[in-house]
Amino acid sequence: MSDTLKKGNGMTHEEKIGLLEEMFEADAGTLKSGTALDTLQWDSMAMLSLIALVNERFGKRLSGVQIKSFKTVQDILAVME
Amino acid sequence: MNAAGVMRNVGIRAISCAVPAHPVENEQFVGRFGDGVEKFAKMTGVTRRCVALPDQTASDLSYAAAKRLFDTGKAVPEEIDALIFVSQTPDYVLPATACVLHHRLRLKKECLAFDINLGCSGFVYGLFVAASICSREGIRNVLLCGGDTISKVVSPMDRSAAMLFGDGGFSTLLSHMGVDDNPWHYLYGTDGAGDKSIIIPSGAQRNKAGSREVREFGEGILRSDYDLYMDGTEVFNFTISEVPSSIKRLMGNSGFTSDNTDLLVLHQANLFILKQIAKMTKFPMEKVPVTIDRFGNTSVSSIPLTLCDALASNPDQATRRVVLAGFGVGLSWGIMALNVDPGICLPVVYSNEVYADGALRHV
Repeated sequence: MSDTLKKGNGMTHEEKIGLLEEMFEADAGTLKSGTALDTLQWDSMAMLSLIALVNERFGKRLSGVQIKSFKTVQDILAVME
Repeated sequence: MNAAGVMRNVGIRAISCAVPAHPVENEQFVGRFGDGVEKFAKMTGVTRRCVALPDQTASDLSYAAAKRLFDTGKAVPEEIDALIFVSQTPDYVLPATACVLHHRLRLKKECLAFDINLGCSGFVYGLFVAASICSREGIRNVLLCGGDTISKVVSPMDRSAAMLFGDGGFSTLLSHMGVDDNPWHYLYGTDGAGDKSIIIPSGAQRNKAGSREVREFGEGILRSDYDLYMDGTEVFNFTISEVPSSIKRLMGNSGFTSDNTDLLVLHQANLFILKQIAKMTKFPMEKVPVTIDRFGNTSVSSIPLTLCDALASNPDQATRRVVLAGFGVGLSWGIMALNVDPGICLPVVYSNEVYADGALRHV
C-alpha cells in the first residue's frame, strides 16, 4: 500500500479531511474544519491512530501534550502539512 | 559500529514457559472502570490474563518452566554451565535471583549466575548474552531464564495499566553447536532519553522519599510513586519510529523478507501496536501470532510465550523462519532473525507453585 501512498506534501484540504473521516470512521462529507473533537470518538485509540497517520504520511512526531491540546478538526489539519 | 551482526555456532535446544494457574477476566473490572473496560479491550486486545498469586514471584514461574525442561529430559541440571535470569521484578533487591534459582534448581557450583535488568526487550537481549558466553572455553550449555510479575507493580486503580499486564516466566536452553547451519542475525538499540517513559520511580536507591500515597492523575488513573507509570503516547511514538525501521534493516541485512519469513514474533505490547508494526513492515497479521488476548502483556516473557503458544501444538512442522522483536522499557529494543524448529517449543505450563524457602524476614 505504501508504494502508492500519497505523501503529505501536495495533499489537498479535501484529501486531508478524507483521511480524518476514514480515521474517525465518519461518513464522507460529515467532517468540517470547525467540527469539535469532543463530538467525535476522540479517545486514546483515535489519538494513537492520529499519531500513526501523521507519522506515516507527514513524517512528523506528535507529542502527548500537543495532541491533548487539540480541540477541533482544524487543530489537526494544522499539523497535516 | 551499528550494534548489528551475526551470531554463529549456537542453538536453542528447548523453550519452556509458565504462567500462573490463575486467570483474571476483564469483566471483573467493570464495577471499577465501567464501559472503559470494553474500550480498553478493543484497543489493547486483552480480554484475560494470568495473574500471579500474592506470594508467587517471577522466579517461581521461571522455575516451573525450567523444571519442565529437566523433567522432560530436554535439559540436564549437571550440564548447565551458566544461568541468566532476565527480569525487572526480582525476588529481592539483592542477591541476584539467578543465584536463588541456581540453588533451587540444584545446579553445580561450576556455573555462572547473574541477572539482567530488562523488560520488553529482555528476551532478545538475553539470547544475545547467552549466545555470547555459550561458546567460551568451559561453557557449553546456558540456561536463559526470566520472567516478570508486572501485575504486582501496577496500581489496581490505574485504568490505563490495571488490565494490561499478565505474569509469566520462561526457561530456555542454549548450547554451543559444532555445526553452523543456523546463524542468528541481530540488531540492538537503546534510547536512554526515554528512560522516564516507562518507570517505577521509587523502591530502589533513587527517590527514597517517594510517596506510597495514591494520588489521582486524571480520570480513573490513580497511583503512587511505587507504581508503574507508562507514557502511552511517547511509547507509541518511540515504537513506530524505531521498531519497524529496525526490523526492516535487520531483514534487509539477513535475507529475510516478509514473504520468506514464517513468523514475526513481536513483544505483545498491545494489539493496536502489533497491527501498526505489521502494517509498516508489510507482514500480514496471519504471520504475526497474538497472545496478548489471553495472557496480556507479559513483559520479558511475551516473546517466548508467543513462540510456544504458536508452535508447541505442531512440534513436527518444518523449521520456521522467525523474526523476533522486543521493544519497550529503557527505552530499549532488540531484533533477531533465525530459524526455529517447532519441536523445541514446549506446551505452556500453568503453575501456582511458590518457593516456601524464599519467604523470610530479619529476626
